[in-house]
Amino acid sequence: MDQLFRKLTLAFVIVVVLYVFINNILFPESFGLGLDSYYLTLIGKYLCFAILALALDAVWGYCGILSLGHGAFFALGGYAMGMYLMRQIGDRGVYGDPLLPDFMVFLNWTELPWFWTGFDQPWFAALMVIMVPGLLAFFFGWFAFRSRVSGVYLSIITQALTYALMLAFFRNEMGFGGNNGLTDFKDILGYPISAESTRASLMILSGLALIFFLIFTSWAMRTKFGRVLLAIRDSEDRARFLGYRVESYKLFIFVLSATMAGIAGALYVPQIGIINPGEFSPLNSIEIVVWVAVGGRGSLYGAALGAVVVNLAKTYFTGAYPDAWLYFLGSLFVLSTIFMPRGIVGILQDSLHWLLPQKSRYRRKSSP
Amino acid sequence: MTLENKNALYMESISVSFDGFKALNSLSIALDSGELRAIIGPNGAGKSTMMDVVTGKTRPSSGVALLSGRYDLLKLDEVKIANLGVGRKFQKPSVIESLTVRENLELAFVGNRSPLSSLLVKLSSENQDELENTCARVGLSESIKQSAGDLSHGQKQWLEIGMLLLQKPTLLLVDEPAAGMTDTETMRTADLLKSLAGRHTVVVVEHDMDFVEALECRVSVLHEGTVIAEGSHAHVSGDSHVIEVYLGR
Repeated sequence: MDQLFRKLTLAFVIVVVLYVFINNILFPESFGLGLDSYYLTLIGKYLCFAILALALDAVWGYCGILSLGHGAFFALGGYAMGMYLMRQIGDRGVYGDPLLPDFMVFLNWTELPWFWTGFDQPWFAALMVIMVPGLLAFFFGWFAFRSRVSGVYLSIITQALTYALMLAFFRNEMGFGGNNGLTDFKDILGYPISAESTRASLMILSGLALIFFLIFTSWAMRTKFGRVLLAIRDSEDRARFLGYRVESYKLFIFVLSATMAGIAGALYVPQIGIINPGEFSPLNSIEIVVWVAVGGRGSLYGAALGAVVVNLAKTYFTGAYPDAWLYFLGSLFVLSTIFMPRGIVGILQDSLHWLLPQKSRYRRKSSP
Repeated sequence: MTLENKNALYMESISVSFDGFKALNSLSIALDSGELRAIIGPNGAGKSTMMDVVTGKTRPSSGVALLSGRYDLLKLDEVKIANLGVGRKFQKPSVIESLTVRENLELAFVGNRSPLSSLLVKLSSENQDELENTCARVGLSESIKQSAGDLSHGQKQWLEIGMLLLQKPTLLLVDEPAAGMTDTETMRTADLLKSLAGRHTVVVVEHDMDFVEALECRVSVLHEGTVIAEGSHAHVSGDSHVIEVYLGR
């Protein structure tokens, strides 16, 4: 039954991607059915968030690692992309410096910091989008999982990690644009970044990435690897005494998840047009947890659905009642924990259970 | 090391203390290969701590612990010890409730345990047969497709024993297998454990004296972290010291 909903989710994303591909890219003039930039960006954003939710669900829903710092990996992927986009501006900046981005000229810097070298090459930037979040997750996980830090303690440390990065990125001396972050991008791979066709392509790319990760993660979770993760989630000691090196499995999925989050961030930044230290805010990471909880953790497609549903609500509420949004988000989390512990997925499963009682069988979830 | 011997498990002068409390006080015990041994003792006698030492969960402050006369258990971690063939059943049944009986057994199956290989591994049909045989042996053939969380308490205990068997252990440590079982289940469990001796060395920690009697094996009595009596069930239950600390309460 989970299969059915997963396929429906996949089908839905494919339809959206195809619709935009046909109406915005293939025949932008003929039908006049193409979406305008506002909606393309909005959908693209939701798709990136869905990938991010998928990444969190892989570690939290399947391995029981509640990361409250996944926003950090997303932001790092975003910064790597942002650095590439900054270098693409070239001499079209306000100060017209052929090498230095505007904020460096403003700070009276005379040369490019060493860590900005290479970011003019798209392949190098793409590598960094994966490597930077991956390496951070590797070193963080290496120490945390080896020392058997788990549960609430791990959650608090991940939260501290993203907070520390936020404070560091706020500093101008760090060389990432400080408070203002990176913005005023001009083009990507030679295409003007604000053109409708570029927006459509980026949205399609985000959709394809989501489709790929949805298929990849659900495949991985059906293999023995996924079952070992569930074993670790349900009974860590059992897994260890069966001879599985628990810390290696945790490290593997944590790094994989961090790179997914990084890729989501890299797709997000060119569509939104800015990356700043606010993306490291602990609140962002907590929001990801809410998406997954509302969607239903431990089912992957549920996490993706949760991200889209909560963000649809966010788009509406921050427009209509901007002051009420945080209260709404808080009550949504509390209410969904109390009344729908298995999230939207649980409701879907129960309603199908009610329609087709003989076929239903869902996997039990243990409490966090 | 001069302690070359043929014991499946050899422990000498093992001491463990937690904040000054001596959980194990110079404990010595030796098990022959293929032996079934029951370990009894009142609460706090050090039974679980002994298992923790053997499986690498707890490090003793002094002593010697050898597996098969060759492996120094005090230098290895839990995973290495498990992969050397030491299986442990916990007191509280700890099967993976979100997986089916078959999936639980597959996890226990010997084989490469690295994350990467687990992405690609598939059980061969030979192995499937062995898995199904083990499943039959612990009486769960009819429940093989069921979710482990839906099993009864006794069935979970058996599933866990089945998982241990698929690890092909040389040494099996079984902590209170009869806890919470009905009388029939208890006797079936005793039969199962007896049938395992010979091929595996089995250590059973137990409170239930009827169950220990049904195992018909050597019994070691633990008290305050040390072995105070050893012998047949009849022998230890006649020992005045044992009666004083344990049976006579």
